[in-house]
Amino acid sequence: MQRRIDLLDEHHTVTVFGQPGEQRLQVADGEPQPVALTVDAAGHRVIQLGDQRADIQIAVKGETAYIRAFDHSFTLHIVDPVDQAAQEVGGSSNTARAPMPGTVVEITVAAGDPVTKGQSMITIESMKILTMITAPRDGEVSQVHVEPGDTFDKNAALITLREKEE
Amino acid sequence: MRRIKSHAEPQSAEFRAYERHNQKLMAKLHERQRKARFDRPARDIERLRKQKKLLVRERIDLLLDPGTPFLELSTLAANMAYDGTVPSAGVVSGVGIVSGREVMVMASDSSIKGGAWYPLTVKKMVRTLDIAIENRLPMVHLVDAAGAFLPLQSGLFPDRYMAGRMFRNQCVLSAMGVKQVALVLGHSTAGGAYVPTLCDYSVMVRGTGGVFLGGPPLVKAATGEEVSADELGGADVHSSISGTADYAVDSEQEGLALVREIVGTFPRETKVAVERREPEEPYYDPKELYGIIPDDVKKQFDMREVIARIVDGSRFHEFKPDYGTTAVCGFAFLYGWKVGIIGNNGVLFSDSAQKCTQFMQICNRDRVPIIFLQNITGFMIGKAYEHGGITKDGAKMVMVQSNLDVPKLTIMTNGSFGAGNYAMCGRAYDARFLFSYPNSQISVMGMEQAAKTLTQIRLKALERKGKTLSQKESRQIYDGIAQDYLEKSSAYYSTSELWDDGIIDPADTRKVLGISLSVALNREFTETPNGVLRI
Amino acid sequence: MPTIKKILIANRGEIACRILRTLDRMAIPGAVVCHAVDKFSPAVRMAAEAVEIDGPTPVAAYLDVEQIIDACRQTGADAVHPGFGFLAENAGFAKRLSEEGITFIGPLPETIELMGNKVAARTFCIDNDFPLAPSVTEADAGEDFAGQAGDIGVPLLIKAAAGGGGKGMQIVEELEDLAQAIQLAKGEAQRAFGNGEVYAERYVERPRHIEVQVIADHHGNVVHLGERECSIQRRFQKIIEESPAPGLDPDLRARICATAVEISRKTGYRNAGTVEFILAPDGEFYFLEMNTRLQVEHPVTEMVTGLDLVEMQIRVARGETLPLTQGQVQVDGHAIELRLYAEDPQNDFLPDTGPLLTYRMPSGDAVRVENGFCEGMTVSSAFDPMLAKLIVHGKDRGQAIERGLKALKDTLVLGVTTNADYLTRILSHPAYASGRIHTGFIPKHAASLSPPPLGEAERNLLLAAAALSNREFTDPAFNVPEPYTFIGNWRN
Repeated sequence: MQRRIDLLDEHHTVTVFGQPGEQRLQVADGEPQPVALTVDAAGHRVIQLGDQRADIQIAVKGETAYIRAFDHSFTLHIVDPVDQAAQEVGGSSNTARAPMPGTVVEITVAAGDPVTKGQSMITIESMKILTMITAPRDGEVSQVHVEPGDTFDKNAALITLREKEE
Repeated sequence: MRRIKSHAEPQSAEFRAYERHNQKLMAKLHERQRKARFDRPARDIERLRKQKKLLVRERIDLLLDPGTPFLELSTLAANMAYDGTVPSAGVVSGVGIVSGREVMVMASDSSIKGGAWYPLTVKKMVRTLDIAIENRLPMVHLVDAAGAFLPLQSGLFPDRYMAGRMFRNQCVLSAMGVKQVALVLGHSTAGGAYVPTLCDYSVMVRGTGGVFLGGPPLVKAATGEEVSADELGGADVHSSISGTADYAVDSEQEGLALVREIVGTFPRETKVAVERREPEEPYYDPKELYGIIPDDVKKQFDMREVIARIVDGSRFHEFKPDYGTTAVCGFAFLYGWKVGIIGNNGVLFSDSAQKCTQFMQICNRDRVPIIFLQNITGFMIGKAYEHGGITKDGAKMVMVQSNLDVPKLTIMTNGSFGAGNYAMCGRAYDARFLFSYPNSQISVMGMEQAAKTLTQIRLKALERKGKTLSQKESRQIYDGIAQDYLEKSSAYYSTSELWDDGIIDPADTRKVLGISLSVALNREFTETPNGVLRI
Repeated sequence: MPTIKKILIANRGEIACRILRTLDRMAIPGAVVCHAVDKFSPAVRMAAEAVEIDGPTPVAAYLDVEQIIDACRQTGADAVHPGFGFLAENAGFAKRLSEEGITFIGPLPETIELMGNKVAARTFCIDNDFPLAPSVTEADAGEDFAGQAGDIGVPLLIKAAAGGGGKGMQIVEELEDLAQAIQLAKGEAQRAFGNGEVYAERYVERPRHIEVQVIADHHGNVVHLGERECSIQRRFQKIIEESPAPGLDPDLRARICATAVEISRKTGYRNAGTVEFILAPDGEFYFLEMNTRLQVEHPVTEMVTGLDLVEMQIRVARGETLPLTQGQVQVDGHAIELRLYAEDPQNDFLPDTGPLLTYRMPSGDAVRVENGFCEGMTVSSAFDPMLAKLIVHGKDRGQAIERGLKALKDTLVLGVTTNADYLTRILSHPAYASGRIHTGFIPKHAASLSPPPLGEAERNLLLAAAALSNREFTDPAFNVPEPYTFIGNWRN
């Protein structure tokens, strides 16, 4: 099974082979190495990859793993390939997404409106910071996905522009 | 099980001569395959890029599981037809792994005449679907075809096993419970529109995917209606309005990822329970086959040397070794599965035919799949043999072989002439897969015999007209006939006409048979009664 | 003398819990208001009574004056503790409460109004000769505002009159940027506070943010409870506070604290408040603003003085006299407060949201935890992303830092990104340890405060751990079957 895993804004391709209990893991084009995630006698989680090992604390929700290891906390996202493909090609430049979680303050465009690149379309508020979301390119507004007062999470789709006609 | 003791002498002159010869053949094979797969006019590649289309093999790479093999079938289909302008007959098909499941991939190559269907294209597609039916292989169709190549429509439309058979096969697969998923990445017009529509799951790519019984030009000509391809039968029309497709995606990459997700929902086919043990790589190096297979179809070699470079651990239990020595029969393991192997070491005599027949019965009763390694010039002829019943014994072998319940796999290692082809499970006998070595030849009789006969006939005809020819002229006629005959009996011609499922490198035989066998085990063995044996 | 029989806490999260603890100790019944999103929060579970409030957004609910007054009637509360933020500095709210005969635990509405308007507060200081950074307001300068602002010289700060928290604030380094900075500040102030009035002020380089806790009763007694240093800030928000201010000259300290008391006295201050100053490297200090409420970092003062400020607030509101004189105030040892935020220091400190899958706070005598969350709750973008405060005390600053580091080590939050590791790096930083701090600390040491880069081996271990913890990833149903695994990546 192969998936893209995102860590610290970097994408990594990870492949896992084999049956549970005798699995091997490969990062990008590296050598597949024996891998195991075990709980030791003291109840600590230990991850082993090849001859490396580390004690970790981990909590998982959906496709996100929150790990504390090496005295630091990390967040890793396992990306579903269909979502990954949708993100990587085309679609992304048509939809303006929230850079951080927040609330919609003001919307200055509606479906059908023409917009120019850089034109402000939505004002959002997060942590008492106001931010303007601007049009990523010239085009026409296809759909506004939120209303003033709505709260949203990071990466939520806010406004989609009509597909560019070639 | 004992290992075969190889008598090959890699240092000998003969070995080295054969090796050089075969390596040249391999180089030629690989180069022709490379060209068929990748050489395209720059203009066609440009056109695809502008349409934001991936090339067919780029699509397949994204479709298959990483780190897994792909057994491509009939890469050189149509290589000696249509002036060589339709490499691989314009379609790529093969066995691969998608989301952990074995599937048959069939993908139009739109870099060749827009993916148009030639007669051999249709033949290849029908054959591919036949393989899917015989082996219960889920189908993944990557549809991107312009439609039938009109100038040759009579060769691809009207007959029983032509275009209509494709759709009929899809319906049979569906009734069998074998899943099919289509990704429409281009146009799928007229009859072709049925390909995705008859599938269980149909994914369409916005902007490039189009499914319609008649395209915009035809519609305009017929009714005067002006409509764009997208409005007529694009992804959104069919996934939201008509229900002809099931999913619409924004890009080919997204479509391929979605197809992978869909295939991931299929239950895995359960394999027929045949005897299994831990696999073991052959003891002898498969590359040594280059020095074992001769440089001339008339020269003999010991088929055991080939077996030793295919099976697990090179271990082989030979059955009845001292009887009928021109045939080799025995048991071996291939990637852990037990198989029966029947190979030729010369012409078939009564005793070798009988041995093969007895052995096939044992395999059939004990549910052991059989691999046929052909190198056969025919049955022995002559008065003593006829009186001995050679025809009857050959018939018994053909009778038992035809009615076998166990899967059969055939490799043409060298010669395949006349009735020997039949007994040793040639194309007509429903081997699940049949592959040829590049040196192999197939014809009703050996070239020299046939060319001599044909030349005689020609000379006689000329004589009746009062013409006598010099030695040199006779020689020229003979050479002309011989060359044509050789061409039409070559592995390249055979594969061009889809008389086999592809030419393979002998060193790859193990892998090819391993995948073929794995696929063959997806379907239960039917129990058919035996035919009557003329004892 | 007003009696206080029951207190409604018009707030939420950790401060509501903290106030409830004191109410419990004082055996005063307490009630909280709560929005639906806070239904399972620790404060609501601690309180004997909770009244549900609603609004177009959760924040709006906690700002709804009438609903809160309604809640008082429902619960029979005769006093309201507003905590901090929300309505704590809303003079209108204080007035409404007094109209309803409900005691507002805080200063008089007029004091709130005076100190709430930065320009009015500054005018008050000018009129009373309190130290102020050179400044000019739009009201005073009129048309000539830009010119007079320019006269103060760069670097210059343009600030919103009606607000704080860093909004509507622009730093001007070059005079040519002045006009645009004024425009930007006014625009932001208008949007944030509904009032575009700004003023210009000398920007002190490398300033230290020193604030003084004061408390006054209704009988004219005012004492200070020492100063706090709040110079470790990001985006003009404090994340580490301590008391006493490290390396502060005792004489200077005395003068600053005395000034704070004077300012309070002059405004007729009642109840708890904090006077904030900017301390320049040359020893000059200037009034910044006065916060007419209990502050987030008040525990730090409580740890070094041994006093309960909330209790003092309640007693003052009841009309009692202050229980101690200035001379009786003792500052003992050193306390540090670490604000644990759900934010990503590597991503410009942008807030993070998500479930608190694991939420373990340190415990024990050496650390005081003010916590508004528990495991299983979700951090949403509805409110400020502060998760908890960790307050440590030591016999000296060194021990306090040690205890702070241990507390952070014992903190485990999984499910949102937090600044815990970042706080650890600050406490471990040599400049912090030696007390060389000022409000530019974080931008100045940004490079050395970034986490060390992740090594490849470590990175791969993390990827492996994530992969093996994911069901789909390790589901054998997707395994490549035999013999394909033997054959591997092969093409014929």
